[in-house]
Amino acid sequence: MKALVITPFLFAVILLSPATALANAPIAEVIQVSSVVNERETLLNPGKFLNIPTPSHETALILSGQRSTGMFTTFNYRTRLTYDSAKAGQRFDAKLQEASVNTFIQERWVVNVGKTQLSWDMATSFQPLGFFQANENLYDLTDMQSRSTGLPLMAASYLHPSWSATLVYSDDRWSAYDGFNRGVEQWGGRFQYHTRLGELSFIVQKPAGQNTGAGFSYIFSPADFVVTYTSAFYRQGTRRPQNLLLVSEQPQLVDYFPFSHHEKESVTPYWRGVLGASFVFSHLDLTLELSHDKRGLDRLMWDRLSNLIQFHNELLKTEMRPEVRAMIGRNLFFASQSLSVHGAQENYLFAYLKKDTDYANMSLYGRMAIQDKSALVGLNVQRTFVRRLTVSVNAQKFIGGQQDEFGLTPVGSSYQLTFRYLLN
Amino acid sequence: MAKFVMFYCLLFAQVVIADTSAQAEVALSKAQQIIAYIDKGRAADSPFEVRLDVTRTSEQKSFSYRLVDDGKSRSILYFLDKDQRGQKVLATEDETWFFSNRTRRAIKIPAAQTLFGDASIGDIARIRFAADYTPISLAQDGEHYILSLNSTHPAATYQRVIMTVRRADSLPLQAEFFAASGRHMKTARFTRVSVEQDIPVFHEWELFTPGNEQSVTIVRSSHFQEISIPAVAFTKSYLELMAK
Repeated sequence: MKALVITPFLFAVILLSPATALANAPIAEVIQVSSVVNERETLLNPGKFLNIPTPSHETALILSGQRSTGMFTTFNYRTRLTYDSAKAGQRFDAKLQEASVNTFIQERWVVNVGKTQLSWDMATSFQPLGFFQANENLYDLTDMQSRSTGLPLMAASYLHPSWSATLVYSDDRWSAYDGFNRGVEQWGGRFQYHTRLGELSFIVQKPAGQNTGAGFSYIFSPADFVVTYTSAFYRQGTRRPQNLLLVSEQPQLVDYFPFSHHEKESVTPYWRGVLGASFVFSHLDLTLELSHDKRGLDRLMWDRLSNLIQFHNELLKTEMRPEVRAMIGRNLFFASQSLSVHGAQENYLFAYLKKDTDYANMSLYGRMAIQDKSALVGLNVQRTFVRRLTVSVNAQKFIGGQQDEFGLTPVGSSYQLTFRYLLN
Repeated sequence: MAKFVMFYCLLFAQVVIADTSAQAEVALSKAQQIIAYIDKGRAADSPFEVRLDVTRTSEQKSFSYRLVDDGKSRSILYFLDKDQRGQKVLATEDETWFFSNRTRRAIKIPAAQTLFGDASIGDIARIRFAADYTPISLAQDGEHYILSLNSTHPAATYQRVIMTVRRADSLPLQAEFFAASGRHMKTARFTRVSVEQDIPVFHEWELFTPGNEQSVTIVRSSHFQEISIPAVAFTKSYLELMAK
């Protein structure tokens, strides 16, 4: 919260500073996203009862800019004004995505204050150390749609040519809690050391009401055409909500929201990590990542979730009372909350293939749950016309058996057409 | 008599070997001088900046960059075009980092990563031959010198460079880049080079892959100026935190 009090003062200092301030012209862009979803009947969506609205259209105006005072102070901002046809009741939305001041207070001390992102993990599909950065978005890896948002934070860093140390405090309690980075008060520290052999970082992080955790990352380039990287984090306990219905082997029908945070301060060890490599071949780039997250459902827990969903579907076939059918529907919704865009299970393999041609940039990506071999695959084709207009076509397909993670999702495939037009 | 002949043969051989090795030493020293002279025109000894416009002839598409160099071995490439504004690349002796403007992620990328057309980031941001290569031979071919250079980094994309230089003024005409496997990967043709105050100034050069000469990537350099910039600006931490 302190960051929010100090930030307006620093903004004023920058904005009112005299002629030494260099302002880049603000960038205004319009982003239009049209989506078509192919809803399918799955065990989580019997009879396609979700009735997902399609097609949907979203139009956003993004305003961003930067103001600098010499080499040593910058002020950045980005706002997003949105109209979303699919969100009945709240079609208009305005969000300040970033607004921060970054300044040197001494020769080697840098302070960052405001709503911003500090990226501590370079992995693409899963970031074990991404405490102060936007969560990964597999459908838009370059953030063409400008959805990434900063966290309110204060950071102080000491920069040395071969190492740096950063201490961060962030208070985001006023945001909706998402089980991950949002809605959390936390502090973190990072020590980064650069050598000819690579970059090594050590991290400590403590969210309010949880144990302190520790992690590391190592990035190494063994040849000019390849970069390898790994990062991992360990903590006792997790704030990821736990589905209480998976504790018991016996599937149940309940009339309460069965998630709890009882693992938040437990002594159960949870670790997560990613191992990746990026290769550059002639006219083709390939990224491969293998990730593990102990907070996800292991094979036993996943089988229990599958059985629970199966049990509710069996009940639905025989139960005719409307109030009980409604309760079954709610229970299927509860079960669906175990699925997550970050992955519901523990182990995933991610592949990203990119090829730039004279006509368009193309990428093919896939994320596979190693436990059940179900997968999400996507194709993106992007082309820029006369600099101002970029058009992107994105298609995703969810592949898997009836009780597999990507086979359960109520969306079989989806398509997005994105226009990005720079107004100035 | 036979011993006498043998003695003189050995003596003659030693003189020839010594003379050849002295000649080779002179040639290598000359080659080193030539690449140091060429480097002087591509980079200053103190911090400087230069504007680079990269055009691909096959699609008449171009991108502009501002290259800021510390005068030693580190450089930052700022993307100037509207649709790429805010993105930048930090290239040091050992690593290359890409900074995304939106996600604020610093991603370590292979130096061989394509920037645009046939120009890789290494081609644009690593600009010193003398620092990255050692001459292994210098041969005369009519009015030209043919320099053969080997990379000092075992993992470099281009393990060998064969450079054609004009004997009269030591200005380069062409450089051919080879992978460790011996595959000819790329050719650079220096199309507009002038000499200003005894320093070769590179205004334009072309890059193309062998067998695809009709699709040429042209790099034009302009607005060179020496600047004052702190050393800490050429670190990943600074670029991550200052978002400039």
